Amino acid sequence: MAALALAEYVNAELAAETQSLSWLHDLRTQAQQSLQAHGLPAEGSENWRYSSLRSLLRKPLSVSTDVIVDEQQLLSLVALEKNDFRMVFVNGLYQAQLSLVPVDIQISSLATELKQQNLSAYFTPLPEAVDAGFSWLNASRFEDGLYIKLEDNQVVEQTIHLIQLSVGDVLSHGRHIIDLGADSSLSLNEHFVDLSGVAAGGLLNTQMHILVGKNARMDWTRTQALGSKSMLVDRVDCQLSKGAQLHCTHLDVGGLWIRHDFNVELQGEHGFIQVDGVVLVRGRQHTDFHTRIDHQVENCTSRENFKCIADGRGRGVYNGKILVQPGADGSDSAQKSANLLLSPHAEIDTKPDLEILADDVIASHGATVGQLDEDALYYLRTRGIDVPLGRKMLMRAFCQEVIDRVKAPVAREQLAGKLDQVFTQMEIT
Amino acid sequence: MSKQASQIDQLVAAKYKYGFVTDIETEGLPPGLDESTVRAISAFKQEPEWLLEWRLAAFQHWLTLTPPNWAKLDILPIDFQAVSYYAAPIQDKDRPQSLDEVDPKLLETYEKLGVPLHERARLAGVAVDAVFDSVSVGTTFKKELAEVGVIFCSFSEAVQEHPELVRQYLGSVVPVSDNFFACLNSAVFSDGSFCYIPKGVRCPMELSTYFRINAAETGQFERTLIIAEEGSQVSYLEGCTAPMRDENQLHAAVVELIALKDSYIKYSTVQNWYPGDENGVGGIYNFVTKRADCREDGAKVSWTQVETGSALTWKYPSCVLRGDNTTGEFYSVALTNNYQQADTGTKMIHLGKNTRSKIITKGISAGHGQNTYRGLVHVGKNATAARNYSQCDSMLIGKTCGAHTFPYIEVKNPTAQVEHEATTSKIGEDQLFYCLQRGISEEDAISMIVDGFCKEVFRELPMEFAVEAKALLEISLEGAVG
Repeated sequence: MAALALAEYVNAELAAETQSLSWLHDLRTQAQQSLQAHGLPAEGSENWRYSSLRSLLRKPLSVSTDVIVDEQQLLSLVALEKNDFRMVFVNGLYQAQLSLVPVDIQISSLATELKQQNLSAYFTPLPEAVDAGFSWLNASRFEDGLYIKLEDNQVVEQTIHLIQLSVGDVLSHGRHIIDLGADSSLSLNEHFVDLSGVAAGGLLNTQMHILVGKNARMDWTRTQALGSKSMLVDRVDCQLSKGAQLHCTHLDVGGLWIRHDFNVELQGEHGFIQVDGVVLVRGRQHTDFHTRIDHQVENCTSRENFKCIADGRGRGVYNGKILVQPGADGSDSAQKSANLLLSPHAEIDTKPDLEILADDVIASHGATVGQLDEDALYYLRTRGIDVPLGRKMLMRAFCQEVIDRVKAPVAREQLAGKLDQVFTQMEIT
Repeated sequence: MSKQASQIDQLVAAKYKYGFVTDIETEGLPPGLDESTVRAISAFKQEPEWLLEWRLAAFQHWLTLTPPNWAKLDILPIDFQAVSYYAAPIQDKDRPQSLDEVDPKLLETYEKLGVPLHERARLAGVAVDAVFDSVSVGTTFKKELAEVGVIFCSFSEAVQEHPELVRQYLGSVVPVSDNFFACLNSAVFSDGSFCYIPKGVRCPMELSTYFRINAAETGQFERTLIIAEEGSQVSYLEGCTAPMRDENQLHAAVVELIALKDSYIKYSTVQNWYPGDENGVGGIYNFVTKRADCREDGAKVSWTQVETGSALTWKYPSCVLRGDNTTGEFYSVALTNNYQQADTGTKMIHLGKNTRSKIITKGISAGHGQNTYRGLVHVGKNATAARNYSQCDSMLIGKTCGAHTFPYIEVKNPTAQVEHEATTSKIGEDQLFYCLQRGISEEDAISMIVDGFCKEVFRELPMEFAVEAKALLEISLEGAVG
């Protein structure tokens, strides 16, 4: 199939359903109707004001074909051992021969799972906001993704890796579902990686739906190291039950045009959510991070700490919204956005929002934009460290606060290692 | 808790103390807006041709605009045809020559408001250009100001006496096409204040204007223009109260400040328009466009506002820091009680080198009030060494109110330093308890805590205003705290 622009995919008719699932057919039809009625987010849309879709819409994209990927190459790309548990998706499609899954838990590909059970509850209701175009695009066209269901009290000791590999100018729609039962525990390391080379890059339009059951816990890291031409539109919807905990740390160092929407609903008392991120934009990279944390009930806690370094012609956007619903007393939220702006052509746009509709709350946010400390650089020079290395050290130290907050030692080391690798390769004068 | 609840009920019942109507006849235009309305207003005021053209151009542009809906405000659709766009006291033809000739009922009105207009004006050393509905009725201290070359008069007088200044600066900060309400104001503005401080003059007294909305169903569309020439200094005070009416009245003002080289303008507002009753019926719809242009190097503008009134406030006093080494400041206390809604904040646009800005806002929500801070700090590509510090604190009193913060920060220069901080909290139980065990009544304790919360802003206000602002805050909070 020839490459088409994204806009043409939006208007294209849906392919005939291969599986005869009536609920899925209805879902896709409904999503497609919304998509055709409202399209992708328009230029003037408030949630997309700093992220123009222009370059995205022009991009020629093709649909997925079979790609042969060498296992060794893949493992070295994500720094994994042969016996690490992993689910591998290439251009959105599950690759059983590259994956290794534990046998004692329910983990499989969504395409397989759809044939065996009715999963409609995970997909409805569809988002209604007029700027939810990418969600409808995904809902109307997704084929595959990760499916994990943990029973009550099930604790997965070993980390599971989710690898999403993009190869070539391909448009993919990964759809992932994680459902954790009461008192269960999971640690997931997610990797966005690329084998497109320097000339090509795909568009990944991924959606993830996460349910964290009563007193369950999930530790999650997400490393985005896509190629220099790849684009990512990623949306995560999490729902936390009573006493549930979710710790999520992002490391965004790759890609050309990245948009994250991270939505959390705190639905049970004493829920805890921590979303952190380190974002590095250089060259012409554009990374837009939107988070929305909705305190729906009493006594929940949320923490956000985002660090962004913008160099070259990069642009870092952060918009963090904290919503405290009426009656959600005892909510405790803190949000921090710290930014380093290093180049005259780079840009930082940050907007930490608070919407508070209850009175007995602690809510604070802070945002800063600044530069590397000249005094610190001078100090390093007096100790024989030259300016480029000194800069790297200070930038690396700036990110460390977020890395330190990662609880699991293995995940922390892995993120730190990735950062070290990025800074080593970075050319700084 | 039940004790608190009963106090809340009791205090909620407190009435708006400034809700009286001065019974004097007014002549004006019937409700409705079309091109002939604009022509009629211009004719009433015997304006020159160029100003009429300017108004008509604004009106034509306004027809193409739709009301903005991005603010966090629940606005009922406004019928712009139901508003009367011009009202003037009937005594306009034989305008009083001195304060003694001013309608005593009018003076009484100001008396109740505590405006230092007559003797009090002299004692307080304040020159008051009182705008009653739309026409300025009395100006004091004009002579003393004239001696140092300061021009302080009503806008319509300035159009007649100093057309060259008005023509040069009108619309140069807030262009006709700026936004829906500014555009409407440009077409139908009735009167306002004009102030010109010549080069090197430090204005000998604080200038002050009181705006009142009096006649029913009259929108008030005033326009203020302040020009500070090189090296001059001025402090300008603006206070607003309005009597009780059931319909929502429309108010759309435009304030333009022009600060030239090394000048300093301090603009303070105490806004206490009628906020509507405890059920959210009535009240003023307040849509104001205020902007200062620090046009030349070294200029400084400081906005201070205390917003306790209006059913609905839509107001973002801004600073365009165009010159090098310019400074913008914004201090604000906004209070929403009952069903009041406020979406207010500031914009600091850093364009010149070494520009500095500071934003301190205190939002207080009580009852069903919704209080939003919306601010923009923009650092342009060439704004080397720009510096901004913002602090936005919110206080919530009661379970049914809301406090929201939307700070936009856009930085395009790598030498800029921008900081933003915000906190939201309620009155601390332990603070209250401490006061109570020291024998301070609950109401006094709350008043003290709120006062302390707002202190950073109040100390920026001129003395008389600070006292009034504090009193207003207490009155407005009556019935909210418990």
